[in-house]
Amino acid sequence: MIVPGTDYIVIGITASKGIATGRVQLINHQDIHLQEIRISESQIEEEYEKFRVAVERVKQEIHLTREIAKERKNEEAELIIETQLQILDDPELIVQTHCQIADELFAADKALWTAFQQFLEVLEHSRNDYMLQRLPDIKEIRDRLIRAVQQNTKQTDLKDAAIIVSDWVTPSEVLLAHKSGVKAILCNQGGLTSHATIVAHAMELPMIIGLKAITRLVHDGDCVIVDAIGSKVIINPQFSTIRSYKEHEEKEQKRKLLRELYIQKACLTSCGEPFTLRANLEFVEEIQNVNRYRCDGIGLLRTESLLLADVEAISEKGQIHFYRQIVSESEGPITIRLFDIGGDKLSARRQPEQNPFLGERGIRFLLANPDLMKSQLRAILTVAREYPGRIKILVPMLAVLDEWFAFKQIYLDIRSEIGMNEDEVFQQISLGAMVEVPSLIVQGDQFSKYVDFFSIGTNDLTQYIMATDRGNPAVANLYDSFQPAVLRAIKWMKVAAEKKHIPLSVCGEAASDPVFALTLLGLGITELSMTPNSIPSVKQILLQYSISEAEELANKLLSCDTVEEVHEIVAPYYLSAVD
Amino acid sequence: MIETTLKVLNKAGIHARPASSLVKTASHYKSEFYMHLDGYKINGKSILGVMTLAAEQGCELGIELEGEDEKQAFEAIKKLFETGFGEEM
Repeated sequence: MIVPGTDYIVIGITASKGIATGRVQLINHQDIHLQEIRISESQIEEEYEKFRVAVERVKQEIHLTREIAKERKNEEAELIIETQLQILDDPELIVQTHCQIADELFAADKALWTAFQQFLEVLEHSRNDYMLQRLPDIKEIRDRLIRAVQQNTKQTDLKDAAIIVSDWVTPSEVLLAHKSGVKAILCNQGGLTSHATIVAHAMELPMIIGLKAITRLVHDGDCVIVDAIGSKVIINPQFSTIRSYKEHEEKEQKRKLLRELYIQKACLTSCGEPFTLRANLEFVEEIQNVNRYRCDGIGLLRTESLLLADVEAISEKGQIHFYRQIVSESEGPITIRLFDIGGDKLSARRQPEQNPFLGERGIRFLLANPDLMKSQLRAILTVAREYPGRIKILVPMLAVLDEWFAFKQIYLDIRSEIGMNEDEVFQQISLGAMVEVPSLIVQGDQFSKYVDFFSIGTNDLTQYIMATDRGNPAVANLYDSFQPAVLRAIKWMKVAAEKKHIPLSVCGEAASDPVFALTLLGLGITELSMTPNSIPSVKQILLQYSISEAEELANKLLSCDTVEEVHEIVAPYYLSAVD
Repeated sequence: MIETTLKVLNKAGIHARPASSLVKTASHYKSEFYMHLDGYKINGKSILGVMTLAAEQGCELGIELEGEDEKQAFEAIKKLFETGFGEEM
């Protein structure tokens, strides 16, 4: 029983930190209703297609969360996502679903349900705890597939500043909540590793899960305090409680406002030199962030999300649609990186490689599978023709110039195949090399004779220069972009590029570290690309210093003998960085 | 065709993580791959199938492989079993 004027507290699990006060908006999820009709034989193919499309749609969604989980090194989430992707590729599930459609003449949703049921029944009777724990993940993927088949994407109108309360939420609802200005999400159910919580975390939207019966304890319009730091919800709180939380919230708001302030400011150092901050992007859904954080175009568009299992790209038409959507919904230049297959990304090859990071990755894979590269280039050039001057192409994993020449030849072939050889538009497309393999830096002056621009991928460059597996905790201290060798390599590359007047930028995530960004500025690199939500804190620090101060810092670091010395010098700089 | 048995050595048995690595490995090969336990037979490339097997430590699983690369596939799968899927044994 909730008595007004006393704090009624419900304890849950914090899935995404933050504090918010607001009014409840309850969302009811309809249970899944299956179509109990029998289809006619002429509709079998149609239902197969519905099933196939649903699988692809859910896969796309899952790839989004997988990248976020990887970035955050959330291993359990990664495993669940991996398993769910395997379910989507499960040959038996496909055969069973097809059987239910063709033999029983079930519609695709009912067919899927029945196919899953055969496995679930066995699992539910299992006495194996490990397996029982996996049931919710399997059911989640089943329900998502069925909703995708039914195209049940009817979305509730979410109110600005509301606190959403629901039994559970889907990842797309979290995205929608974020867009609609929702302040927090509360759920009865949920595991810390579910896709929805991963997305909430990435969107910095406070979320508490595992609140058991919260949907029955509150009504629409109730006032609640969401304390997603103390993992509790206070329902109809007393005035004094509201006041103390409000203070908290205001502080948080101030921090956010400060960030907003920096978003609006022009990119100029304290001595008035301009610098450029661009966005790293992979999915269409992220475009709003490019505009929100006022990024000057997209410095790195990853394209691996266009790949399906077995290293086959989606159709050229599908690729064109993707590029067109990105270009039309954003402004400024866009650097598209060709498929960087291999390493930890999609290596669905028949013979697993011993050392995938040193194997057939990036341009090596593309040259071995020219059809894949050709279809990508055709799609990119088709869109480039529609948007003259906007698109640049970046080639990953170049180690030797022969690879560049081979790529260039294929590029020229595609250009003339499209029949636009003399066209001005095509002359405007810059072709660049990703700087990540040390051999390219050693031959930096020679590469500078041929490429239009360079872009440094700091993560991989660090890994290759230091010969250090970035996922291995035993050698984590070596994997540090502040290592003197990495800083010196960047400096060398910059000098080589500058001699030939070739632009050089950095698109690695290390640039999201404000002090590393300042160091790069000191090394003469004025174009940085990063995850859009890192932009406010990077900008904030770059605005505070002059070029000569940044150069002084960079020079000090370049003369350090050890990474410890580097850390000692950079530490005080973090004090002037907020966030 | 290869027909043999392999023993589950790791403590936790073939739960989600080992199941995932097993399916991943098997899917690299063209050969058909089936496993059976107490007369219950499943497709080793099907994650749902492997999970329903719920094979615990000490289980002797029947293994059937058939296809052009069955030898390589068997070696890879055997290695997974012998190393306890990289888990505590």
